[in-house]
Amino acid sequence: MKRALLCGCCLLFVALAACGREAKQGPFTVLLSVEANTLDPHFATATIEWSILMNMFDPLIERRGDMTLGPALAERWEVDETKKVWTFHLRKGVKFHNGEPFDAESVRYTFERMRDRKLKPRITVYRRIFLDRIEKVDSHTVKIHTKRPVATLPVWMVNAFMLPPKYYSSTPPKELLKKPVGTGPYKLVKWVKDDHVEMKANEGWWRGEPAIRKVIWRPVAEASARIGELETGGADVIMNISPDQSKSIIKSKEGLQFKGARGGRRIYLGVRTDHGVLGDVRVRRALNHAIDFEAIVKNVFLGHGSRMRSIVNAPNADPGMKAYAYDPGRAKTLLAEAGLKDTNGDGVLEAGGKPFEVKLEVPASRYLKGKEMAEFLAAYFRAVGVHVEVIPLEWSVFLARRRKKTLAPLYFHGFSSAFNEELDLGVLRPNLFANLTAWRNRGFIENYRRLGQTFDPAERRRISYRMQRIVREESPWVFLWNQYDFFGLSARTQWTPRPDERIYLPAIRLKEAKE
Amino acid sequence: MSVERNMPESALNTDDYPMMSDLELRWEKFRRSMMRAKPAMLGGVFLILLVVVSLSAPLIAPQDPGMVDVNLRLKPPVWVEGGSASYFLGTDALGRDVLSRLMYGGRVSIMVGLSSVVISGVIGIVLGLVSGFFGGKIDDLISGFSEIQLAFPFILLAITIMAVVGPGLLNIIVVLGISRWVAYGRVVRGQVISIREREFVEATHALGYPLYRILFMQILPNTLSPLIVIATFAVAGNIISESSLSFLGLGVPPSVVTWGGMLSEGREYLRGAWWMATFPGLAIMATVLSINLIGDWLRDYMDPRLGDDM
Amino acid sequence: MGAYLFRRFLRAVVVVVGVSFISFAVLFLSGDPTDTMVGEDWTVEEVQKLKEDLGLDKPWFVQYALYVSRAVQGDFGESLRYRQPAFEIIMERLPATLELALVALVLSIILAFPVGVISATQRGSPYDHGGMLFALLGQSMPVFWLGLMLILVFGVSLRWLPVSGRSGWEHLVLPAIALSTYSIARNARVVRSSMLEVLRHEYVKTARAKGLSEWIVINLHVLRNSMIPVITIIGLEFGHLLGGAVIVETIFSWPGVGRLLIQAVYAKDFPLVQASVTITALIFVSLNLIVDLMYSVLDPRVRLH
Repeated sequence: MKRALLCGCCLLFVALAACGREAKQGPFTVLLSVEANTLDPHFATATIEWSILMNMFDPLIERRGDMTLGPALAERWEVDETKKVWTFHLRKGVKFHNGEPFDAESVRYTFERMRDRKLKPRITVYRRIFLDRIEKVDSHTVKIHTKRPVATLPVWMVNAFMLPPKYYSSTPPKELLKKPVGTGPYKLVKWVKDDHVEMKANEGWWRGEPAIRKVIWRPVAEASARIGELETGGADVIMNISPDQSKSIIKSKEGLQFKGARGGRRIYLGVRTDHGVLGDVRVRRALNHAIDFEAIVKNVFLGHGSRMRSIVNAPNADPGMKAYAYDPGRAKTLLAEAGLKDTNGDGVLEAGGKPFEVKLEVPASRYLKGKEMAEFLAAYFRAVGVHVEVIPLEWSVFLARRRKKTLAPLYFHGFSSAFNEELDLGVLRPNLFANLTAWRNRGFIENYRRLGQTFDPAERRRISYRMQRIVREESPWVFLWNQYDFFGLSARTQWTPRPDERIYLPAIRLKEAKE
Repeated sequence: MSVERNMPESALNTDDYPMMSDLELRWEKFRRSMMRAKPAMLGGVFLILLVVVSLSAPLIAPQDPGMVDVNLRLKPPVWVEGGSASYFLGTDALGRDVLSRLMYGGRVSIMVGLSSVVISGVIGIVLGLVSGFFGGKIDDLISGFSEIQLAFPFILLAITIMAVVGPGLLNIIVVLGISRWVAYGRVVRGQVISIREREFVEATHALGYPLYRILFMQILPNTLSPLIVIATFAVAGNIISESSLSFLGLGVPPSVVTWGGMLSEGREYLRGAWWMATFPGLAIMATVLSINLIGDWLRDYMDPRLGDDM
Repeated sequence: MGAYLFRRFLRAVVVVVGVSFISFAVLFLSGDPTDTMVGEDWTVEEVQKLKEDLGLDKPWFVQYALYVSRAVQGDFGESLRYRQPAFEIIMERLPATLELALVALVLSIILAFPVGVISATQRGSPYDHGGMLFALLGQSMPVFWLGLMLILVFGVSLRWLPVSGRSGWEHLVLPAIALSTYSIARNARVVRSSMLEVLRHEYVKTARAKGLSEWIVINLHVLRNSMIPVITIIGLEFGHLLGGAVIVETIFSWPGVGRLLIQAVYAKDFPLVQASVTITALIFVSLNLIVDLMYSVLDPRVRLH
C-alpha cells in the first residue's frame, strides 16, 4: 500500500512535468486587470469597457492615437452660424457586422436610443451635448440640433458608437449586452463573462482588414499572475503593472518589452479650502513646494514621468508654465508668513495654539502606487512641520465619502481626461459633485463661462491659458503628475500605447515569427 | 448535529504516586508530559522568544518601523548584493526596515490572535452555558443562530463590517471574535448537557445555590480542558484570518504594522523584492506552527480522546 | 424519524431566511450602490435619477419585503452591474466553483485517508512523523501565501502549469492544490486520531485475536467506526472550501462564485450579493442536512439532534 502511494506520487509528478508548457503562437491575448460588465455601448461606464467596445464599434468622430480628433464614420462635419446645428456627412458603403448598411437612420436611431426612457441607458452623451433633435437630410447626411451652443460637441462624439437600428430594436436588451454588433474592426465571437472575450477580425472593415486575426481579452486580477502569463507565452499585452515589476520582466526573457505611456489622468491631492488654514493660498503653495516629486519618480517609477505642470493635458496645456519646484525652505517661509509657528518645539507647526495636523485619505488600490505615494508625500509634509496622517480607504468607501463630501481635508484623487481644454478645466468648477476643493474664484468661473461659448480656436486657447495660470496661482490642488500607464508586451508585439488608457487593436503590428 | 462525547473519568492514576497531593500529582504529570513532547517544547521556546522580542521591540528594533524614505526603497537583505547591515532583512517599498517591522508586527499578531479568542470564548461560553442549561426554546434559538453563523460566509461578514466601520485594529479583533464563537458554544453546550444530570450538580442545586454559581463554579471547570485546546488552535486560526483579511485589503490601517499587512504589501513585489513577503510569511507560518504543536500536545495531555475536529 | 426530518428541515429554512436578512441588513448599512456606477462628470440630479431608476430610493424594509416576496418565487432580482437576473449569473458561475471545490474535496479525501491511515497504523514510524509534519505545515500556511508561491514556482519558474484562467484540466491543478492543502492536512490528522481511538477499543483487539488479517480489521472495523468525525468534518469542509474559494479564485482568476461575490460586495451590487449569499447558505445547509442523515445510517446510536 505504501509502495502504491509512492508510485502514485511519482506518476503524478512525471505527468505534471511532461505537460510543461512551451510558448506557443496562439491567438493574440490581452490581459486586463479588471473585467467588463457590459458590451452594450449605451450602458458602458468603465474605461475597460470603452477599450473593448472601440474595437467593435466606430463613432462619427474618433480620437486618434495622438489625442486629436479625426473623421471616422463621418467624413467631415461643420457647424452653422447659430452654433446650434451640426451637419455630418457620412461615409458611404459601410456595413455593420450583420450586413445592415450604415446610413443616416443609424445615426438617428443611435441618439434616440440614448435617451429612451424605457431603456434607461447610462450613457450621458446626449445630455452633455444638449441634444434637441436629429434631422435626416438625405441617406448620408444628418443634422444634429442642440438646445444651446456646445463647442465641445465633437469631443463627446468619440464615445457615441453607431448601432445598427434593425438589430438593436428587434433584439431583447438582455441579449444585446452580450452580443454587440457594430461597424468596427473586430467582430465578437464569444463573451464568457468574467473569463474572456473572443474577437475575430472584420474582413469587411471600411479601413481594410486589421492585421491581427484573432484576439482574446482576459481579466487577470493578480499582477504577478499577469506577469507570469506574459513570461510563459500566455499573453501578448498585459496592462496595469508597475515599473518595479518591469525590472524582472526585462531581465527574465529575451524580447519581452516594458512600455510606459504618459496618460491623461491627472493625479493630485485635493485641498479642501474650506478647512481652516488650508483656505490660505500661502499654505497651499507651501504644500506644493514641500514635496520632492522627482525623487518619487526616480525611485518609485524608475524615471518614468514628471511633475504635472498644468491641469490641462497636452496638446492644450500652456507651454510657458513650469511645475512647482521642490523647495522646502520656501515652503517653510510661506507657512511662517501664513502665521504657522512651532511654538513648543515638537517639530509640528501650530496655528492659533492648535497643531497643524491634517488627514490625507487615499483609495487603497485605485491609482498606480497611490498608497505608497501618499505615504511619501506625508513624509515630505512632516519635514516642513505639517503633520499628515495617511488613511487608505477601499474605493467604494472613498466614493461614498466623495458623494457625501466627507473626505479628509487632503484627498488623493485622479481625474481622467477627454483631451480637451474646456473639459480638463471643468473639473474645478464648483458645482461638479466630484470636486471637493470648495475653491471659488470669480476670474476662473467667468472665463469658464466664456470658454463654453467660444468657438474660435485661437480665442479658446487664450482663455484656457489664462485659466490655467489662475489655477496654478491659486493652487486648489497639490499637483502631482499625469499618471503613466505601464504595459508589458510580448516579443512579437509592436505597439505604442495611447495616453487615454485604451487599447486600440488596429494600431498594433506583429513581428513575423522567425522560422 | 454534535456528536456527544463524555468527559473521561479522571485520567490520573493515583496508585503510581501514593505520596503526592493532588496538586503535586498534576504538576508531576504536566512536567513529565512536557518533557516527552519535544516538538511542543520547540514551539514553546519559539513563542516565548517571540513574545520577548515583540514586547521589547521599542528597545531592540534597529530602526523606526514607520520611518518612510523614498531613497531607501527595496534594499535587499544584508547577505544579498547591495544589502546593508543596518537593514538586516532589507527594506520595503516605502524604505522601511523589514526586521524592525517584523518585531513590531509580532505584537499585533499576538494581540489580535489572543483578544479575538477571548471575545469569541466569552460569547461562546455564555451562549453554550445558557443553551445547554435551559434547553428547550432558548436552546433552539441559540442553535439556530449558530447555524446561521456557520452558513454565513465569514469573508462577506468581514468585508461588509469593515466597509461600514472602516479599517482598524479593534474592528478586526471584534470581527474575528464574533465570527468564531460557535465551536466554544457547541462544546460547552454538549458538556453542560452531559454534566447537568450528574449528582453533584443536582446536589448543589438542592442546597439552594444560585443558578449562576452552579453554572460558573461547577460546570465551567469541567469544560475547561476542551476549551483551552480549542482556544489554542483558534489563536493560530485568527492569526491566519487577520493576514487573509489584510491580503484582501480589509485589515488594520497601515500605520499599524502587521505581518498580514506586510505580506499583502509584499505580494506585488514577489518577483523583484522577495524579502518583503517571504519573511512575514515565514513568521506567520512559524508562529502558527508553534501554536499548533502546543495545541496538539495540550490536547493529548488534557484529554487524549478529544478529536481533531474541534 | 419523520418528525425529526420535518423539524430539521424547518430549521434549515429558518437558517436560510436568517442569512438573507442579516446579509441584507449589513449590506444596506455599507453604502450606496450608485457610487460605483456613476461617472466623474455626473451631476447630483443625474445621480438621484439613477437611484430612482434602480428603486434604491425606497426605505430598506420596503426593499427587503420586495426582495423576499420575489425570492420565494425564485426571482432574486436583477444584478445592478450586469443588468441580468442575479440567479442566472450565479448559475453560470456555480459550475466553476463546484468543480474547484469538488476536486479539492476529492483530493483532500484521497490524500488524507492514506496518510492518516498509515500514520495511525504505523504510529511512531518515520511515515507517521513525516505525514504529520506535512499536515502541520499545511495547516500553518495561509492559503493566499500558498497560492502565490505555487504561481511563482510551478507557473513562472518551472513553467509546468498555467497560472490563471479556466480552460482545461491543467488550469485546475494549482488552484485545487492551493484550496485543498489545508483540508488535506486537517483531514489527515482527523483520520489519524480517530483511527487511533478506534484501534484502542476492545472489539479491535478481539478481532485481531480472532486471527482476522490486519487488512480486514482495518477496513471492516476501524475505518467504518472512525468515519463519523470524518464525515462531520467533510460536511463542514465543503463550507470552508466555498469560503476559501473566494481567495483562491481571486489569485488564480478562476471565474467562480467566490470572485463574483467579492466583486459584487465591492461594487455594492445588492441583488447579486443577496442571491449568492442565499444560494451558498442553501447549499451549505442542505449539505449539513445530508451529513446529519448519514450519521444515523452509519451509527444508529448517535443521538439525532
